[in-house]
Amino acid sequence: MESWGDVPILPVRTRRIIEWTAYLFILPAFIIVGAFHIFPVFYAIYISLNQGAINQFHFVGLQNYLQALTGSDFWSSLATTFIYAFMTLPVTIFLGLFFAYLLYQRVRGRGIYRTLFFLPYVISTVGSSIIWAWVFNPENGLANHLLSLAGIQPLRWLIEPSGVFGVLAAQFNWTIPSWAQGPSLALVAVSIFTVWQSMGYDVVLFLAGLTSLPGELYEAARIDGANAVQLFRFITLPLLAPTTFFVVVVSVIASLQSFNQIFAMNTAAAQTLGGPLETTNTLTVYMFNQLYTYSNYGYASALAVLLSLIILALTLLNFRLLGRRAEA
Amino acid sequence: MMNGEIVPTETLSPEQLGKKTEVVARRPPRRISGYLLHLALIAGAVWSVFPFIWMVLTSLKGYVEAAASQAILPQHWLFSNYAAAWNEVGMFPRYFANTIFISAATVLGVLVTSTLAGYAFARMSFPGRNLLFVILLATMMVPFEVTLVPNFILMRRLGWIDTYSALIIPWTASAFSIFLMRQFFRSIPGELYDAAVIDGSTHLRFLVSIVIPLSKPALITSALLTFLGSWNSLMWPLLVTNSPQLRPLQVGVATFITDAGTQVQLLLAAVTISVVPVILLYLFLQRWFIEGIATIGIRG
Amino acid sequence: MSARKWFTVTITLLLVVSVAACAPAATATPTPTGVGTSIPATGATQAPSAAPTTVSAGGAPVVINFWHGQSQSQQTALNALVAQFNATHPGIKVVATYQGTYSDLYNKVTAAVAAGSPPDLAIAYQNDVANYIKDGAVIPLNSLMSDPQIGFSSADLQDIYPAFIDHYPQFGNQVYSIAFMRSMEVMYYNMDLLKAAGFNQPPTTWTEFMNMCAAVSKPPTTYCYEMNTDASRFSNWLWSRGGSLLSPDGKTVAFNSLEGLATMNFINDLFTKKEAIVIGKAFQDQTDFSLGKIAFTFGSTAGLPFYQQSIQQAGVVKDWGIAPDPHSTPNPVVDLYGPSVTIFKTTTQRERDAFVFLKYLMGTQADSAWVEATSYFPARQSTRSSLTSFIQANPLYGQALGWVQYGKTEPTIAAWNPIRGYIADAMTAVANGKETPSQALNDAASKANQAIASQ
Repeated sequence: MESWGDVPILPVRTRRIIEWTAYLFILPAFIIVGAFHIFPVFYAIYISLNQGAINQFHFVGLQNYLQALTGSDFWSSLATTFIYAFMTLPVTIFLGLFFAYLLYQRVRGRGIYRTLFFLPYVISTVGSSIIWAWVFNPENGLANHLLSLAGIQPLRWLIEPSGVFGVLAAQFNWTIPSWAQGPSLALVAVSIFTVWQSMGYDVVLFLAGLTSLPGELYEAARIDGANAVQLFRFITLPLLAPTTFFVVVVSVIASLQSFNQIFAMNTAAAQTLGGPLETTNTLTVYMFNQLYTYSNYGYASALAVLLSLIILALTLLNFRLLGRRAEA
Repeated sequence: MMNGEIVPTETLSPEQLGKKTEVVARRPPRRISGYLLHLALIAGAVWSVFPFIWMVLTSLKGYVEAAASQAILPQHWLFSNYAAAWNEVGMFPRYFANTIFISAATVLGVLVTSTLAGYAFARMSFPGRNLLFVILLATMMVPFEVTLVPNFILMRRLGWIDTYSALIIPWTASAFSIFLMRQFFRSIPGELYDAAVIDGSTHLRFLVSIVIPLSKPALITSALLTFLGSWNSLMWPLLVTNSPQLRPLQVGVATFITDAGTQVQLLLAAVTISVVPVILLYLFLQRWFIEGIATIGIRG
Repeated sequence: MSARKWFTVTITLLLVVSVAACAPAATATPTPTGVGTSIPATGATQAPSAAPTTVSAGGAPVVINFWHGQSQSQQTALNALVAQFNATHPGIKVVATYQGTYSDLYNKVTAAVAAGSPPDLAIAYQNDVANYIKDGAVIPLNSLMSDPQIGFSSADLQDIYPAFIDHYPQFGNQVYSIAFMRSMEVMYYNMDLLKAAGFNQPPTTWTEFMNMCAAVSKPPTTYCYEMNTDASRFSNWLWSRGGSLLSPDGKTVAFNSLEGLATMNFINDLFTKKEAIVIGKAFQDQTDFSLGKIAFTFGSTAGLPFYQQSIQQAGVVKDWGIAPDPHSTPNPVVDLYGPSVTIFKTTTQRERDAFVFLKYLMGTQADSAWVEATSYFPARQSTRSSLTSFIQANPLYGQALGWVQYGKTEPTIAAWNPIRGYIADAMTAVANGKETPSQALNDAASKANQAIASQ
């Protein structure tokens, strides 16, 4: 009974046999993925070494990469990307786990709650961005209404290029140096929207993980006199590690690639693609702009490859740091 | 279905496992103060749901009210907006049928490919396993936008432009789902596997008779998220189809967006129309989630 | 479900999926380098295959593909025109296809060009057309326009407004596209507010405009202007002060001039005096105008139906109208903008067939039908006479029609798309007090010159 928790997943590398049938198992997936997901990657790499119109490329070697790495636009959009990820990822994952855990309790109306929590992810971004542009509307939006209850002056949210700390300090007539202004309020507003939208997704994933946990362990622990916090800390969290690991890896990838949320919010708020004064110009937005506004296919592909490498490095790091624990 | 105390719908035969099995009702911790729990859930539910409610209410307003009003409730409840949105698009029934077909076929494909591959990556040993897995994950890291042109070219070479094949087949395998399944399969206790090996079971048999029934929450989640991705896709279907007869739901929704102005209330009515089936599906899947729990009660 | 059932279902699905996937994928996966590097030779076999039938031997009509971004009522009107064309031109069958918004449409055309399967005609903004020219994907229309058989007669060319024929100075000043839908930048004014402040006429000069602004603004309830930040606003304000966007040779921008500075100062004044605000969500200026909160907005005549509906439903504003932007030039100037139709490089015969359809769209009959369905401006001066009843029903449109003669168009260079972004950023920077007017202007100009040079 108590062996449940420490039963190791059979470490495959201790088994010497090569199971050739494994290739049959992965074959269908790799046919599809190979043709439609891996081939385009090689194509993107190929294009990233070229310049010119879409069907008149000429080879330029690593010039696009040099242009990106030596210019300031790439680095500033990369910084925006990380700030955005930093503002959205931890909050989303924490709220996702928190609410999934609450929904996992035997509460009345659990099915209804679960459905409600999932709603944000169901609505297409086109629809929800319109509603959120209303929430953030400087003139009469809900966000400002809530702030006014707390005695705070109305803010301009999605159309505010000034840093969030600067904006808040201005409420008290303080001025703070430009380096301490923080990310633009517009980026903060987009992040709030993103947290709202992705939370439902994380809730669903964590719930799936939680519902797979063996229930009788709790029984045993409770008999041993464990309280709710201990149960969570010593039983749920360790057992949930594979799911948490999955959510973290997938969220890091999705967050660094975020495009739809930013694009939709800026469109709904009648801003340019990069937001007010390009303060929501993440790396994917920058890449999209190069692709569609400038028609720089080679340069845009180089940006995509660089972004992919960064994400890949972070993912491998995740496997190193978290994967060991999750997959021991 | 059933609630509360759960009766298993499916148990594993002891002979098969070579182990004693016993079904135990799940007992999650119950001590968190009931009030706090409900308070937190209500707060979270309000946060999650208010934009949706707002959307539905706005879809029932008049044009200027929808665009400007601060009032939450419509002055006049214009249910006719839904008829107007439906008629404006004209092809909604066809779009619905297409989307249901495309989404369902995609989900079936994803379940098959990701169950098999996820199992291999979780449980089998073969040369290149880690490398292949990393390659697979790497496909998630390339922004979708740069793959549009090569994929379009590929579709054209295959002669799939303007066919259901182009809408379905490229999406019948996903690194995301394979990864998800792998994670879940890994958390299935190794002793079950050992027992099966002793029993002379093959991988496929073990997968089908034990792993899959134990992984319903994961399968359902994978299916649900795949379904939703397919349901909400717009860019790809527009790219690979020309005939209106082949196009999905979101194309109908997108026609409300124009350069000169937007009939917000009609657009939101269309979005609501497109969302309702997914919500119903999710409600329906709830019972599967609960059923999934029941089958987990296997003791070590 | 029993284990056996699961097994059967899984295996069956596996078989279905792998058979479906293997067969074509295994045989036809092209190598990365083999794709997109060259334009396939054009010929009957390489002809666009966006629709399954192209040229058939049995004398059936040639299918000509026309990609557009018109949805809903506009799509209905367009389909009616196409049906009529097909009925009267037995050798040609035009298939019109909605491809999403203009940016979706541009994506798809680009991908199709790369795949060697472009449509025959597509609707595109002029800077998109410039990119297609760079791709070598579209053809100059000059020789088709002067073709003795299918070209325009000199009477036609006299009748069509020059602003509807797009020349591309970057590419030998040839014609690569012809306007199909043009609307106009105008000023919307709330006469109720102006009268209350003691004015009887909308402003015709910028000085008058500023005076009225000072008189009507009562923040935070009423503002003079709500800015929908867009380079078309700037363009028209610049022109109306006598400035130009580009130098005559099209190689550098010319908006960093005294007129450009006056335009930026104008924005700066409005915002420092708190007489203007920026819109917080799309089309909010239309809504606020209809609620009587705003005295002026600047925008497209394509928004007229939305303004009308909004004002009628809100019931606040009684007396309102449209006028050309105030100006210090002798005549008013209006920005005539909107996408055009361009013809892709296919075969000589297909290109000719495509042009026959384009010419039909520019014909008197199609012109007036399209105008009545969409409220865009006619391409031909003579169309006006057949619009009498339409103008009676839409007096504001009738007024605007009189200003088409003052029309100017935005540059047709490929870099115009990014430059529009730089101009919008400069407007935002000034409106937010982030940069001085001259800083913002010079920033935008130097980035714009770089963008032109790198094209």
